[in-house]
Amino acid sequence: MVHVEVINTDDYISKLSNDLLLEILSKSSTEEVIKTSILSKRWRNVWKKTSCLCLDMRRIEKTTTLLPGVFHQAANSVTKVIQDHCGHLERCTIYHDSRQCENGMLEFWIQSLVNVKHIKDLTLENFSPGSKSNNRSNVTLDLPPRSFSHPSLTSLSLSQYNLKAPHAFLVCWNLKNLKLIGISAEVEVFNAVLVACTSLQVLALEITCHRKDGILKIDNHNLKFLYLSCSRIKGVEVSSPSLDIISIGSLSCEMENFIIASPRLHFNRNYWATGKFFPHTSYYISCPYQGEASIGHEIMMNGSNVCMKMFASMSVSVDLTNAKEVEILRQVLAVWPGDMQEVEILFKSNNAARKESESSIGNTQNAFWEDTKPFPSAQFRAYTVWLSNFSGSNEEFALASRMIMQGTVARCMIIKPSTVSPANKLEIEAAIARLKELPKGHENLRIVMF
Amino acid sequence: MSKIIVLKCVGHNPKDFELDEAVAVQFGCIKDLFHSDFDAESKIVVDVPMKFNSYIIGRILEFCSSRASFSSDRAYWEQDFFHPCREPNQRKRKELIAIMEASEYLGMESLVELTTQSLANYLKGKNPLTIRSLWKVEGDLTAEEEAKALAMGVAKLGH
Repeated sequence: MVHVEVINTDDYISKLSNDLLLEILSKSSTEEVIKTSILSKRWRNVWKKTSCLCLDMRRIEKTTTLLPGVFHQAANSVTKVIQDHCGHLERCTIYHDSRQCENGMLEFWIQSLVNVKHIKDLTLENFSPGSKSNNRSNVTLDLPPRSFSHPSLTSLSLSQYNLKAPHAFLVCWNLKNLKLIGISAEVEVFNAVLVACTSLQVLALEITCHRKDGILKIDNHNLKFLYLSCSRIKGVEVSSPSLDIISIGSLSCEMENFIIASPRLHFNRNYWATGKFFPHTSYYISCPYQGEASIGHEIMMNGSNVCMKMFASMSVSVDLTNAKEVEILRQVLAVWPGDMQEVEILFKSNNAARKESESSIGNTQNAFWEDTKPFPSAQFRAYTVWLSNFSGSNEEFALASRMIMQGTVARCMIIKPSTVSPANKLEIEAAIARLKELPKGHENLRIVMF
Repeated sequence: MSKIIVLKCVGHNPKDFELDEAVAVQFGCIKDLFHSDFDAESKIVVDVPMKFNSYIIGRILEFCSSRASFSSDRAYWEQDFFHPCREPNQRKRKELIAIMEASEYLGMESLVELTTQSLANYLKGKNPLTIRSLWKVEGDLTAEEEAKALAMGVAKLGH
């Protein structure tokens, strides 16, 4: 802690320790942070120790038609800010235009941030006026080999570029999170990038392939979360056994060319079943071992999540006898922005659920379903709800009845029974009959057995 | 019998504050005392530095007792400190800073978070001259130093 003697006894703020000043600045925009360097000698160098920088040249772009030199000066200022920063820089975001790619400035910034500052999280976005409408990148990102290969760099996001070759990603075992948004390249380049990033846990691809006949191959074995929005692609092959969540924004390939080797993520509903109109997320809910964070769930709950959109659809697999899994389901649905087109809730089968419960935490019986609060929240709505693998258990009945009575489902609830013996079939039919007799939150709600 | 922690304020208006476990465990510097090996019936006295007077400690304990730190109940503080449309007066500014420093000393992360966010909100959107005027910061940069900082154009960057 650094304490500074300040003669002006009314200047309470300047006498705060550097730790507290940095804590305050961490809650401010980069513009506000850098402005404090003009306040006084005490403040002049505090900003240089902030852990996060966001440098946005879009604000200056509008003035360049009148004052062309201003933009060049701004780019030089970005360089100065990066060089003058002397603390531990964890995260940096830069919005720039195509000129910085062409004149080598972007390459210099990347080299400084990755190899000199040892940054953890890097976001780069090229904004080029008038080019975004067709999602085609208009500037080629041509970087030296291994530009993103450094042990400290774990998270990388690139937006609006054309990738000519994959060699900037050579030996990128350091990357755990990778987002490629508005990127165009040959499919072979994308495949090579993914092969080089062997440690990926989170992958978001919003990409366009140059030719329409390529197969995108995703073989990353540590992958937990995958988002795909790909155009001009013939097929996708996903072989990631640890995958908990796959979200499809838009895919130009047909369902038969989408191959996913993950039995946990096979549901009755999917992106093609809903007509390819709505983004679709498939989520296998599971509870990690004590102390281990659920990476996929953290991404889902993150405010900047690409896959959560209004009128989207989702399939989710859950064990209703596991309190933690139920809570995860509640959280995910409760934060969904706006109404959902369709939700499929696949109940884990009794045998599978019992086996998982034995090895997971939170397998105690819970009084969750005795609660009368709206599930997942008073605001959540879905037009259609599928209840798959329905066995008529108390928990399944409680969930269904709460959704019916509290108006969570607006149009239709479709119940797909589990494959059971004739004795169980009567029990299921009786449960469905009781559900149909409940008072409905939406008068025109239909409840049907599939 | 539960353990008792006493916060002893020796500065202006000396006062002792007896904390029950539910309140004391919110202090990072104290909570470990409840897991240590000592006679359950004894009291532990923690001396608070003179710079933190009993009024400030009392305000912090008020915060703890209302469980604002559990529910992030900003409404409680908003009326006094965080109202977005109102600038704090000199007394409130001094109090905010004192609570921030005391919270940091006592290891109350939630209150450090709340007070630093509050201060960041007050600085937001203000140019350096206004900040200097409101917060009595003495501008001691030379004209040359100030011109150099402005000439970099760094004030125009950032988001």
